[in-house]
Amino acid sequence: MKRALLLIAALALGCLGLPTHAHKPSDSYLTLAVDGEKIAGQWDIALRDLDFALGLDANQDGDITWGEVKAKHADIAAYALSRLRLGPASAPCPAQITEQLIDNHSDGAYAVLRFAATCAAAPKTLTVDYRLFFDLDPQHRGLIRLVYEGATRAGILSAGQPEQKFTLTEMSRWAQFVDYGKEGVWHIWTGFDHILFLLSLLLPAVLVRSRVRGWHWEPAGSFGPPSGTY
Amino acid sequence: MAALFAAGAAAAPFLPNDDAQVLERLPGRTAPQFRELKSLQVAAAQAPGDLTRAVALATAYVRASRLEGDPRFLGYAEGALAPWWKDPAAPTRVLVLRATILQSSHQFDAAIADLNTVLHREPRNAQALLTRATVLTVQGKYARGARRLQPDVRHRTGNLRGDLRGRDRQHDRQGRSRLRIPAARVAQLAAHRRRRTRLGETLLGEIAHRRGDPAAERHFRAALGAGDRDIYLLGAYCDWLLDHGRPAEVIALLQNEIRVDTAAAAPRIGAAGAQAPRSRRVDRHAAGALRRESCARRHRAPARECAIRALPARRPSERPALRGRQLGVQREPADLRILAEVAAATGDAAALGAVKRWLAETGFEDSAVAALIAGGEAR
Repeated sequence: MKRALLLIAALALGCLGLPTHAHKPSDSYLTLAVDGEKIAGQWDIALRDLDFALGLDANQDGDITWGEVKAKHADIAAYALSRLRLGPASAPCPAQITEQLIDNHSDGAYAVLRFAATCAAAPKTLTVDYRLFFDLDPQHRGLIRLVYEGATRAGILSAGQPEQKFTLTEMSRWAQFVDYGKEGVWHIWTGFDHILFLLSLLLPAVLVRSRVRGWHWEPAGSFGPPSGTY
Repeated sequence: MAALFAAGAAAAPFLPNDDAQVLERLPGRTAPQFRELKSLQVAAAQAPGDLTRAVALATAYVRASRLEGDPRFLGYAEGALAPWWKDPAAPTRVLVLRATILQSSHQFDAAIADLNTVLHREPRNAQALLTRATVLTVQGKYARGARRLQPDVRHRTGNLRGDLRGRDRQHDRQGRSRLRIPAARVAQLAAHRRRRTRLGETLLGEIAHRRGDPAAERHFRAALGAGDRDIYLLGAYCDWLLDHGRPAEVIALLQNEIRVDTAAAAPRIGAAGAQAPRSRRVDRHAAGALRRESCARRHRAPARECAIRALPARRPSERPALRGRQLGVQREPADLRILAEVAAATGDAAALGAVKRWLAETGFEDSAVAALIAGGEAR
């Protein structure tokens, strides 16, 4: 698995600065920062996907304008949040949208939903139950990054595996690769955004550049916060 | 480094300040096919579990994925078939569609298993025979693909892809004159359906391209003139133009096709188009960007297919291994060309050997690949 990571890393490093491509399967990018009982979230969802589910292009001229997106803000918030559960089913942490922005990813424009959730108590294990678009597009994937006390973990959620439990007290540096293995590295290959989103977590989390001269990688001694990732 | 990667994944989120600002363009939304798709969606939604409506909708999605080159439609097609998707003994129509969707995501073995189930039930199911032949062709198993695909099936269905792909090798092996046969067949079918003309001319263009025959351009232009936009055709023609040092024409062709990527690719494309005389270095760079664009439009997994072509020369060591791995899964002419380019650039003996073995196994010929092998061996 380590070898696979290095392969991915080599590819990504080789491709930085090159233009990326429009057509890849549907993904959303969910980042969760846990601080005590509070969770700050950012969820990037492709406008193309939201249009398919909610019909953003109101006048059906093929152009999604900011005005059309704004008019659907309440629908987007309700649609997305009703398909994401943080915390156990018995005591979910309710979330509220704090702002909606736009971002341009390599494959198109994304709605950026920022939200805040509050749990009854600081969770030791955070369950993420993700159901966005799976009924419409079973090939959709949710790419999740979780930040807790400077350590980060990631996961890929799919129609076949819509739930993941993050044990906050045992954030293992290698465990995440097992998660990717289950999902299949294949999906990651299908878009640079995947690689970049995941490597923004993975490389600093598990590898540091050796102090020895030359390009040589070794496992990190301890986790450090991935600066600028959230 | 983390910041660098994050910056690569996305720029900073922003709040647009103008309601009229267009954030995203959805291609093909005003076309009649899209209206037809909408009515099929409504029909399927009104009767969940209705096999005929679900199959009609999934078929339309698969067609849309081909026209748009957008794999999202394959996910929608899978969604439309959800009640039957995991059933190994699903109805025959579902199995044929499921095989098509699976092969589009390179799950070739699962696709073949579904098609074998269909052919066990109905040994003469024309669509299953054709799809099976297509899957085997994509894997480079030409002889197996052609074995069960008898000419009467091809003619009965009027399927040019099967018709021409089967003969492709024969012209390559036996000479130029054989090319006239499928050309005549294209003309014959053109009277019936424009779509077949487009497909036939595209394939003839690709065959001529591989043989180094300048007739390729005539075929590609005929295909462009034969109806709806076709992402695959655009990619094939752009590849030919790039091989012939004409990046400026690629810019014109892809101008409305490149969506958000334009921001990244445009400066390079623009440089190639505007500079006269152009430096070879800029041209090469622009050609690389454009080749990735055209490549991306022809393959479901664009990053893998096209990025590997684009890896900078200073990191050559990983590339043949990556391409070699991929060639094990998918073995279309484009895969061979990419591996040959990598092998030529690096002089990697193992990669060159893989290319030559592939040619020997299949009897396939391609003038550009032959030149690349010669270049690689001369290194």
